[in-house]
Amino acid sequence: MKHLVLGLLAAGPAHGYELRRRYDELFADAAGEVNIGQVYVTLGRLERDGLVAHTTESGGDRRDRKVYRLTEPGTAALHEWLSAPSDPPLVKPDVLLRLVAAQLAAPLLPDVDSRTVVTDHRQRCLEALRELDRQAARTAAGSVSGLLVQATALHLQAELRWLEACQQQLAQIELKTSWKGDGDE
Amino acid sequence: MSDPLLRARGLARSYHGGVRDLAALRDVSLEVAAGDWVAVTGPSGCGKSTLLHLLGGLDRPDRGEVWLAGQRMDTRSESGRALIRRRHVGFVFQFLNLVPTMTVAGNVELPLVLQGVGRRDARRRALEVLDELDLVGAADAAPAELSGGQQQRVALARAVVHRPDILLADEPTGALDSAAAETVLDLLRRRHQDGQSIVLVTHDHRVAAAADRVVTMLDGQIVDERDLTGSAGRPGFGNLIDLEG
Amino acid sequence: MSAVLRLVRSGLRGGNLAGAFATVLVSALATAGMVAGLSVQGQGGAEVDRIYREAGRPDLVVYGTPEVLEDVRQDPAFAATTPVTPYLAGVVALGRDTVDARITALAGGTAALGRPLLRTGGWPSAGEVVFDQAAATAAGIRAGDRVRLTVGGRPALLTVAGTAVDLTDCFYPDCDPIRLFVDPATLATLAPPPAATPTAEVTPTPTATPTPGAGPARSPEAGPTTAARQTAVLVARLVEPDRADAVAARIGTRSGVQAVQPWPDTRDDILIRDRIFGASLAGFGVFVLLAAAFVVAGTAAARLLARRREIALLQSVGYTARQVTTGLVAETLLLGAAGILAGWVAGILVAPFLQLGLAGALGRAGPRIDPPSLLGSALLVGTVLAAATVAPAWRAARQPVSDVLRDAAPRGAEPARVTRILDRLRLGPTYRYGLGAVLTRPERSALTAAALSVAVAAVVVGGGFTATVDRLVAEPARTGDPYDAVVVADGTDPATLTAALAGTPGAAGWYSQLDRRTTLGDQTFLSRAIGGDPADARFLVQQGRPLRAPGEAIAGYGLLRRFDLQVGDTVEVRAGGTPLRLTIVGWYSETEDTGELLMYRAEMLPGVAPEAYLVSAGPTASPETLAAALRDRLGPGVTVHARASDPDDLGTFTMAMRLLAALVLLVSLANLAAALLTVARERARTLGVLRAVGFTVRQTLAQSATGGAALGLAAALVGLPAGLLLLRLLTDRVLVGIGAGPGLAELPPAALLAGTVPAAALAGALAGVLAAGRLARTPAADLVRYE
Repeated sequence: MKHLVLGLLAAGPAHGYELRRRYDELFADAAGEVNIGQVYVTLGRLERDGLVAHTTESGGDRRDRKVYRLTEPGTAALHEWLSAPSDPPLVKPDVLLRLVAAQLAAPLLPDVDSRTVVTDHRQRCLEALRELDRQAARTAAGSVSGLLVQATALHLQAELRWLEACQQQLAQIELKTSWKGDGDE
Repeated sequence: MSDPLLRARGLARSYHGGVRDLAALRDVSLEVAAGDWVAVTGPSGCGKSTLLHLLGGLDRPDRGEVWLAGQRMDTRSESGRALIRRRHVGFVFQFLNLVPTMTVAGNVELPLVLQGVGRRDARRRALEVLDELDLVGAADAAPAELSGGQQQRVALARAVVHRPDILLADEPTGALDSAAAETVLDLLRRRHQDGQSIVLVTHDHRVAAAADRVVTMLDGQIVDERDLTGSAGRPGFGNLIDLEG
Repeated sequence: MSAVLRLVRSGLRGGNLAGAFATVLVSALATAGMVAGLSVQGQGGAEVDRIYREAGRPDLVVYGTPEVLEDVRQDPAFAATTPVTPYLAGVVALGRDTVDARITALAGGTAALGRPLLRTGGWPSAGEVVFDQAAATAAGIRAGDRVRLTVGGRPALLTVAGTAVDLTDCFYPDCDPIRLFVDPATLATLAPPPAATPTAEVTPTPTATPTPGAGPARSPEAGPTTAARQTAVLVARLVEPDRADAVAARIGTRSGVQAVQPWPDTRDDILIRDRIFGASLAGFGVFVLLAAAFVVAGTAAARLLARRREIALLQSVGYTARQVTTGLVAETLLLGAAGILAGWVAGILVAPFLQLGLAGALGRAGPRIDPPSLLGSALLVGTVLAAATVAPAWRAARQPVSDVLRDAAPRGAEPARVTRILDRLRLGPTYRYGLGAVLTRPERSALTAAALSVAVAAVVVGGGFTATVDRLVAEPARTGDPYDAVVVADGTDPATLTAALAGTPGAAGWYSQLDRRTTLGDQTFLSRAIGGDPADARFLVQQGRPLRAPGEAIAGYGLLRRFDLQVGDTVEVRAGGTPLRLTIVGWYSETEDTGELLMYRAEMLPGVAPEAYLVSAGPTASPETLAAALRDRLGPGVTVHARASDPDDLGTFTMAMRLLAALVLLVSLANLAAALLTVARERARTLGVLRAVGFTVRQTLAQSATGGAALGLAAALVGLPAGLLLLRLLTDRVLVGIGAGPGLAELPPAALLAGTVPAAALAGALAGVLAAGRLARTPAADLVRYE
């Protein structure tokens, strides 16, 4: 969020509500609206670190507002972030962990089927895809939201395909561990 | 009505090939109620196309029964099944759906003409459907003059023109780019909203997710069957995309 | 080059077997037809020339009184002669009928000239006879058999010592008398004592028994019957063999010379039948070749379409269009070469069995290996194959590679216009689809239909030719023989004879004839004096009017052509020794002497008795019953023959024609089925879709049948008129060739003509059903999976 706010301010000085508006215009279709409190918390942190500064503006008939702008270190920090390598798409191994645990726990918890772990997860993914399709209908082509929805949908499809592979290999997944082998003897 | 529109029970089918027989289907049962949209998904070679062919009577199972609209299919002759298909089934395949030597309109009106509908009437109904699919301008074109997406839409038009009880689609978007695929999927959604029962075979999960029910096949068997209709409006899907990450 | 070879090899290894087989088969058939035809046409001549040399080159045969012949023998034109050899005329039983025979004694000495060529058995001793080879073969007579001979009314039984070929005249049954050879002592016992039997003074009775439609018969002119005490024959080798005809003309008019027979005429007579048949066979070979061209072009187009992806891949690797074309043509040529070789061998093996005129006389020749014919046919068939492949190959090589690789429809393969037009035809979906499947591949369909239309034309030509020949046999007037039985005059008083003829039951009329060797300028031909009621001599006059009055003449077509005459011309000729001035009032159909015959009224030779009376039967009598009635009426002293026809030989001929037509038809139908199979295979996927939409099995078959029927119909509609035109040209050529003249061509039977169109459509439909049969049985699911 921190670098995103720096980015939003790079477009020009703005007060908190204006920042939230900029954010929502870009992302709300895909990621939902942002909490105004979160915006102010982030701005507070950034000001503390000297990356942004504010001036108070008279709001006419309404109360005064703080208008934030990037400072020199702020611009530098933004630049540094943009030059740094972006995060690799990390896979959350949550399902796999559950799968392993389910396999291990099979004697202990006979009502848990490792197969069900997979299929349940697939249902969630499919439902998510279905939901995304509905969202996609609301996003305009070429919008930031559209790109986000696409990215998510494609990740979900990849996940589903991986689940398929999991399921195909489920029978072959043997937990080759030393203690299990010993115990069987 | 308690009887489902389409009911398959204990279907088994194997092919003779190579060293040993290849079991394409092993004991598959499936029911499709009127108005249902069932997607059959699974990796390639899992038997989903075979299942679809059996449901539509293109092939006969080694074992098991197929009932469509109250009539048993699997015991009928090739021609007998063809007569049922004419009236009750619409088929869409992945590609090369159209008869290349007939115009677009000629293709679309084919099921009607085969049913014995008068030529003028058939043409009128074909044009209606083409109009609905925004293809009326291409009525006199030869299939080869159309793009792949357009051809697929024509195929869809032909599959629904005679208001079949069930639409059977085998990878209808498989050979299309994403935009064309989206159009075809949209058409399917609209048809379904109008009450069309659909069985759709696909390995594309995004297409499968459009269905009410997803059947997953593996090695000739159904390994999972899930209803997706319950997910609408379920909480917890707003934050699929998390910018906090 | 090795790149091209690699392409050829891969094509041969991987290509579609049926197509390759078709190419080999049609090349083989075309080559076999041509080689057999050319072989029959050419081989006979070589064979006859060989025995001509073996016989000491008998350039001229002269008949006459011994005294005159002794004189003639001294002629400076002769390089060598036989001694003057007396002979007897007799009749010999041959099967159920009898045939005239000339009996000579074998002179001693070793001179080859004039000596018969012994083929089986040995030379005769007392009471034995060496029999005419051709007649022996025809009647199944072998050494050791006994034959019954009648000379001057006296019967005699002789044992056959052997058989021999004699070149003084052409062979039985085209020519008679047949030649028999005995030892001098036997000849003396056969000769009737002069006082006892006046009939022994008979001149040879070389009455022709012409065989309708087949070959001409030649008979030496008979001299005045009363003058000759004895007759003899002389065989001479000429100093200048090329001048045989001129020498014959000069000698033939000498008084006392009864007949002269130059070798070139005999040779032509021996070979005419083989020539005609050979030409027809070779002509049919061309038919097959034409069909082959279409078949190969169609097959090549289909094979290339199936391999377009492979070709595109090769091009993407770097093959040029020229290399690809060369490779594809080379591939066809390689297949063709296999077919040509097989066809050449088959043609050479089959040719001896097709030697119609010669086999009986000369024995069946062994297969003659003739490398030039291999070269020639290889060149011709190869050229046709290359020409048929190069266009589709070039087109295949010129396709945009990217189109093919991304599986775009072949260019021009689904013409949208045809599709739209077809849609307007308002046909049922089955017919609509079947028609579309063939019409949207117009080139290949055209080639298929063309091959079939060639077959239809071949059937029409074969049928017409057979009908023409049948009619020639059925109506003897068409071959210049408007009679049913021959009464040999044998010196019997003409008045008594004619009186007897008139009252014979079954006899409708008669005319008489007398042959004379005749000269016009320095050339000789046969002329015939016709007596009796002119209305009874029903020659088939094709142009002008029939012969009615003295001073008029009608000529065979061959004679008009030989002397470049026209109806209305007046000619001055010498018939025997008599100068005649004749106006040609018409030409008539005559096959004897290849139509080189002139007829005039017997009134122009006053006081000369006819040689023979030719009697025509009434509507109820057959030649045999008429001959029997005449025998009854005229008594045993008079020789009567029923008109002999020659159905066996003609049977072989027409059979061969029919066989060839059937062969072409078979090939074309097979090609049609193959083409439809290709269509069905190419469209297997579409058929699957149609089945998914609701086509039944029957509709699947019906659509293919529709396509086949459409092609068959088109082929018939083109082939029928083309066949009729060709028939006209071909039969006229053949008929002019045998001297009968144009205008005798018969249409094929009406049933054949009327049946052609529906039969072709039906055959096409059947081929279509056959082609789609397997696909119709294939489950629809397999078809939609079909790629």
